[in-house]
Amino acid sequence: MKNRLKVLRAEHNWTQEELAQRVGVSRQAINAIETGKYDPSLPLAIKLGRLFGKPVEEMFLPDEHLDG
Amino acid sequence: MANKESQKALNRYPMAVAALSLLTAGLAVVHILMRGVYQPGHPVRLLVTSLLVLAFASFIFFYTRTLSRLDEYQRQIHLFALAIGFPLSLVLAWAIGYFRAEGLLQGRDPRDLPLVLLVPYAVGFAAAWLKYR
Repeated sequence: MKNRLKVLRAEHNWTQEELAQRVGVSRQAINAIETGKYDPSLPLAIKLGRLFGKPVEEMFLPDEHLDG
Repeated sequence: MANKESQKALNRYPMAVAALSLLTAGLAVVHILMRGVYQPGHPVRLLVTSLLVLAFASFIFFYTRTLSRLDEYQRQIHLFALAIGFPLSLVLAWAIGYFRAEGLLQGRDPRDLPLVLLVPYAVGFAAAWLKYR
């Protein structure tokens, strides 16, 4: 699963730590999501979507969507 | 969830877990060394045994408290470690039991088996750490 979290975070000028605090997880979790090592749960994905004002499906994309 | 208070708890509990695991391991070693010195039932042995049980119970208490305060990503790492460590522990305990029945490993005291079973968990944790780092 690919995601646009890093781009969106950069647009808001937030550090991983700041984003982590806003959604209530550890900085390591944000880093793992950004690097594609961990796919967030649905509640966390929704929380991130609400924070950035984006639908979840726009932030998280299956690999083939980006490859194609 | 990750406000300052819970962040403090997140930092505090792992320290307690680390300290108690070291204390438990230390007391277990003292107990092993003491077996050749004092007879069973000796007050010193009873004291060390009581402290060992108390330290181990406290370790489990703080360990579960720590787990309950982890976020989903950190919990995933521990679940991964348990998923590997638990079957490894089963195989190890089963193998030790069978080898003892065959006359091997007779010198080892079965009381110390839980200490040996920390190894599979450590293996699982290392695997999880490598997967998610």
